[in-house]
Amino acid sequence: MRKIISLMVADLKMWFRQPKLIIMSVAPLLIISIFAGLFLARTEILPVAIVMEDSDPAAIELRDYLLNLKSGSGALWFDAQAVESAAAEEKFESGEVLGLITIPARLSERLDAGEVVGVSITINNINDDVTKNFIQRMQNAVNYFNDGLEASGTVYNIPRVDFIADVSPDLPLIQYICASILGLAMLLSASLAITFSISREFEDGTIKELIMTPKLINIIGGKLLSAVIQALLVTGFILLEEWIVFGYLPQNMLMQLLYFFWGVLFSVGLAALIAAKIKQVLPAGILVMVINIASWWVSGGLAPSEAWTGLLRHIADLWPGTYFYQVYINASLLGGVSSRLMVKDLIITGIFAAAMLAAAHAVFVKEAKEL
Amino acid sequence: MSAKIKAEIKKSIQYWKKHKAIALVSIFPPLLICLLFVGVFQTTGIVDIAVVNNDAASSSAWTEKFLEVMETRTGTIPYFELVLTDEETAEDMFQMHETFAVLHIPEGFGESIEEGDPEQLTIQFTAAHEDISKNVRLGIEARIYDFIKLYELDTNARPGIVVEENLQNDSLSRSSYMMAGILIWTMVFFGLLIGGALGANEKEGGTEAYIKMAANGETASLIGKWVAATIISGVMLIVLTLCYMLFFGLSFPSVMSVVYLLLMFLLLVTTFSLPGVLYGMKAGDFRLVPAPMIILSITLWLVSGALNPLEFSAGAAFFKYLPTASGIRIMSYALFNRGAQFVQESFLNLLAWAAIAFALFFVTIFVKRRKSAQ
Repeated sequence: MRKIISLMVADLKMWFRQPKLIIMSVAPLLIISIFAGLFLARTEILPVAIVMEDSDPAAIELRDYLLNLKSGSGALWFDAQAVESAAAEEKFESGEVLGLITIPARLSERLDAGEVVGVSITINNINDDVTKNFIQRMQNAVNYFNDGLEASGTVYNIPRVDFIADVSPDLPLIQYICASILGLAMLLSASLAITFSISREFEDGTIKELIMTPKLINIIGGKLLSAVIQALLVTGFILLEEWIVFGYLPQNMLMQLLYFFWGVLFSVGLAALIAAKIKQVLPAGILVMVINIASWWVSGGLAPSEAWTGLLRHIADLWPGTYFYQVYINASLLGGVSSRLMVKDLIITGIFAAAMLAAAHAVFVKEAKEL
Repeated sequence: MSAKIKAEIKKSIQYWKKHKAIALVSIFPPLLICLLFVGVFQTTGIVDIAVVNNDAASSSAWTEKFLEVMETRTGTIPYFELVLTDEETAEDMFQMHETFAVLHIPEGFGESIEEGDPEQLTIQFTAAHEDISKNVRLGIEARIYDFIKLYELDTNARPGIVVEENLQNDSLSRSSYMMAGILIWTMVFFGLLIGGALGANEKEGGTEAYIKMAANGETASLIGKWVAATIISGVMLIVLTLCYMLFFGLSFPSVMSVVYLLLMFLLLVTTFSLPGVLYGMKAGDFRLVPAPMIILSITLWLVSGALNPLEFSAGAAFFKYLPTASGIRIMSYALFNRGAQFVQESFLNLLAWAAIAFALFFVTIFVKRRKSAQ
């Protein structure tokens, strides 16, 4: 045990003495966290101009629906401004607003007469996604308006939906992004720590001395322990940053430690394999970084993989990382997942981790002996 | 001087030819980015949804019609892939995160529509991700709208309002739209990476001292590397553009759009390859080049309207001055005829950035000469 601890201390000293390695461990996570948090996690609020052809009560009611329509998390759908026709056209032409909504005159009268009245929306269709958001939000407002509409003494209803979510209101996107980045922090920091630790021994030519020790388990234990501490520091730092900048804290903090160890064991095998094969700190570190970030992306880093279809869904289903993120993100946000899901995902990631650790051990010994 | 510059360009091109691994390293990230980003946005339009039809026993025509509308692939996305199942299986799928949402149709739903007072539907969903929750909520609302429009409003069975769309441009998928940004990012990335690789090679090869000793050696070397980085980036961009056309459906609608591409290339690669060369000279090791260049170029790209138009995102008032934002706006206009009102301002902005790059060049030369004199 003493040997393991002294190896761990030596490894940690090395890490602390090399700011380049610390920057490589922290910088990508910090950059992804700050930029994804600040720029990707915002609900898309559509700037629109509403033109009312008169001050009919039904038109005012519809305008108010549009002004106050909110997403499930409470964000406004439209950044709407009611303006005169000419001013609206000008704003639309200059790109200040993305759409024009024109509520026609005599709306109440026409509805009372049993008419179906068209509300015109003009969209520059900058791309289909913006247009889709625009039209769907309008249709949402129209549904509200048409439901329970009273015309000539008759009430007209439409089917309505009771949305039952597992948390209410819908969690802001920033929470999902923070949880997924914290999961990435666990995997990436542990992977990088073990990569740096192993590849440096090869790069410095000290691996031969290490391999000659009677118990290889001491070396592995020391390096693993050092990686755990480094990863804990980096993950703790990212958690602190997310708490200070975005106010995010995961549910059930105690369980975080368990997920952390799960993440470390899951990720270090593949990283050790890469480090033993490449044998140079920087190239191995960069490769491990790229693999982890790409894996985070396909495993549900920005959106839950179960919401995907097509090629990416297949890739996500095949990649074991998906099963770590699936449990980690949902548990961190919702407070827990079903025990069956936990067991299933633990088995999948466990098999992968065991296979990678065995392969890493074999490659490490072989490469060290060949030197 | 010009002979020295020509020699430096030749040497840099030979270096690139010899180091094919570096060329491969530079092609891999753009293709990966394309696959990941464009791939994600190509497939987010369809959502699996489990349906528990408690009204199946009544065999109501209205319930059948409602389910037909739910499955239609017209109108706005997301389109729903309905998985008809029983209550127990649906609950299991939901708990195991195999489906994002479960739609429960109540008993007597069809009959209640017939009577004009529809029973309430229930959607159970995971609200952990605001954007996907939004898609499910609005997607269902859109299908209900379609249902009412088809069977009640279009037939004048009741009064109400409908949405009359007037689209000013043709349809353009988000993944296609993103290709303009991908092209711009590729230019920036190549400028920085290739510039960095060429900048680093003197220190790596141990020839830095010879350059410093020659009269005007540093100036000629800097100019030569800058020009060579631009030339090599051009060749690499041709290869990548062909890949984008082949694998990701990029197309150029007119000769003018190709001219715009060339203009963007000249302005952006010229602007970014100089800082790339200077960074490479400072780092002196190619292994230190790719990671910061990838991070820098992706960051610039993301905040410049990579995924959606700039005016749709936070910080647009500031980020519109970035060269990448101007490039994306110009390429969006060139490829898809979108955002003509931003073109002139974007060109002026890019010219200003190119001028800054030249100013940086002169400042660097001035500093280097002063150092040599001392």
